[in-house]
Amino acid sequence: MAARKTAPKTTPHEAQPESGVSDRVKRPELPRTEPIRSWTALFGADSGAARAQAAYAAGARTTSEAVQRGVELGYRVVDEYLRQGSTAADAFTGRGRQQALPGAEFSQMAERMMRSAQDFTSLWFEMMGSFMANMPAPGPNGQHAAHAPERAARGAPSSAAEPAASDAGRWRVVVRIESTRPTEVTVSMDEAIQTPMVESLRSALGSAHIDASLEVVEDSARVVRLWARVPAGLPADRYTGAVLDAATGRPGGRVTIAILE
Amino acid sequence: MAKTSVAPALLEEYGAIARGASQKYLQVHGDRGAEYLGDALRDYPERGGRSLRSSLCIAVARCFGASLEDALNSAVALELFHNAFLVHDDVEDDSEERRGRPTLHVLHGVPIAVNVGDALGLLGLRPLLDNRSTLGLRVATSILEETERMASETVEGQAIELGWRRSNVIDLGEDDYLRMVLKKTCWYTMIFPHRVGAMIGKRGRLGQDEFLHLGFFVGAAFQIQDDLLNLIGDPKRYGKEMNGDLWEGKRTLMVIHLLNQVPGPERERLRRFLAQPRQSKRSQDVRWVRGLMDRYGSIEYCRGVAHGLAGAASREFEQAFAGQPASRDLDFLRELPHWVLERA
Repeated sequence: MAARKTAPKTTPHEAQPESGVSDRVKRPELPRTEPIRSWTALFGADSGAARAQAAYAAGARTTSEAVQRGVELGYRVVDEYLRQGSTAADAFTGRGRQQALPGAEFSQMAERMMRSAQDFTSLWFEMMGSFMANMPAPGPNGQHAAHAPERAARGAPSSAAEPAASDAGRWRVVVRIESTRPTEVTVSMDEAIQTPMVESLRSALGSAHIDASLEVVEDSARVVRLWARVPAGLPADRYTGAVLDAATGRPGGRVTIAILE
Repeated sequence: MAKTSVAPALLEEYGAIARGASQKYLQVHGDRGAEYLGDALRDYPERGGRSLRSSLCIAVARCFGASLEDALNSAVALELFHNAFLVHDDVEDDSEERRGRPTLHVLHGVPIAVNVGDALGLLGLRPLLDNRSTLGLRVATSILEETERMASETVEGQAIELGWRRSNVIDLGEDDYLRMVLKKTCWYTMIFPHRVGAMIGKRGRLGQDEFLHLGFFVGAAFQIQDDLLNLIGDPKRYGKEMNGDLWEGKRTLMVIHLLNQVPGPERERLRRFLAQPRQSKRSQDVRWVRGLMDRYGSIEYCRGVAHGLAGAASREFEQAFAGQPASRDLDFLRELPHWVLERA
């Protein structure tokens, strides 16, 4: 008659590992082999955590100690990381990373400013002619005013705009869009900006863009002229460009031209 | 700790906006190679998720005076980067489940999953380039530089963890773990969204160290809680494989704590367990390790550490956002360390 084996009573978490092919199934080590006579057991100290704490008394830590240790270790690690980063940055550049001036960024900025200026100069007379012809009354073909901080102008093709009456300190924007299709123009501009310029207007996807320029017409009255030419064949979409202060490079608004279907 | 009240609703609201805005980028490849690229590309993003990182970016930007629209491109980039990391992480960890479904490499194989991860990462650059139109070249360039820094830190952290597993390193302390997590998790989950949001709101550069303490503490608490949930979370709500970290041999804080507490014979047995590839591990081995964690108090200890880190994060929050006007976004950011520990 075969002997009947009884599987050791274990919880699922206490099952033994199979650490190799030759390992035999063994009884788990019993947590204790005699009654607990310690007074601590009177108050239910025989929980898993309490047993663990008893098992490694030297390294025992309560939850509050764990909290404290987390904070201490955390500050030590992050401060050490910052020191290392600072040292590495100093060794690499001779100054902190945060002070590094990316040359490429500023050369690109200068290039854009130059291009905007060239675009503007080459079209100055043409634009001025159209602009003056349309002043002061709105023309018949949809002339619109955009008034910072944000105004939208919806127009038929080739529209020009004149400034509306303004609050003190706000920029007034004269808009001239050369387009064969209907467009909607939105301009927002911070009052704090001193010398506005606008970058090329881009769609969210794709590389298509609209060249645009901003030029201060009358500094004291804070009138600025926006010009843009929408290339034929450009997909109907929203094209947005940031308005920057040419003196500081800080952004202070945006120009959006939506080409309508 | 106090219950969170703003965080769930705000995460839902901003997350939906960011996920919605990311759709147009996810359509870029259209139907070209739909089965192996386009459809697979949209798989993880369409599984949902909390959109924590993108929501954080938006909230911080708004706290510093920016509009939601100003932060949207960067939030979308964070969504795409996060999904790219998840795809690659799942391959590296040989994980089986993500957001309640089989992982991408389980569905399509490793080569296609790696390619989809690459595509998502590259797609994330598009909205950052689009920042030129909304934020100007200067701020957009700063954010790109910050992205490079984040990516560099993240892959370093991931390399540390993968190296520990590859070489079966067991002589690790809690400080080693925190250093690894600082790079692997904290940078892209917390530090980067905070810093980018602040760059957008402040319209300029930040000091090298700004938001680093805050991001580290809340990020480390987040990671430890994430690892705890893998062991003790609700399987119905968790979305990933329970005990998956043990199957994968990850050096979580609980494993490191256990390695430093178990006596010699069990430590040796644990070392052999960790050395085994996933396919060689057996469920009873995993249960044994899990049982050791209960017996040696690893779960409770690490929960305590996470609470300590979250407490430090609350203190750092008050310094980082001192003087900002009251707002729902500020409330959300104040609640973040609590939310990190409360989430199931």
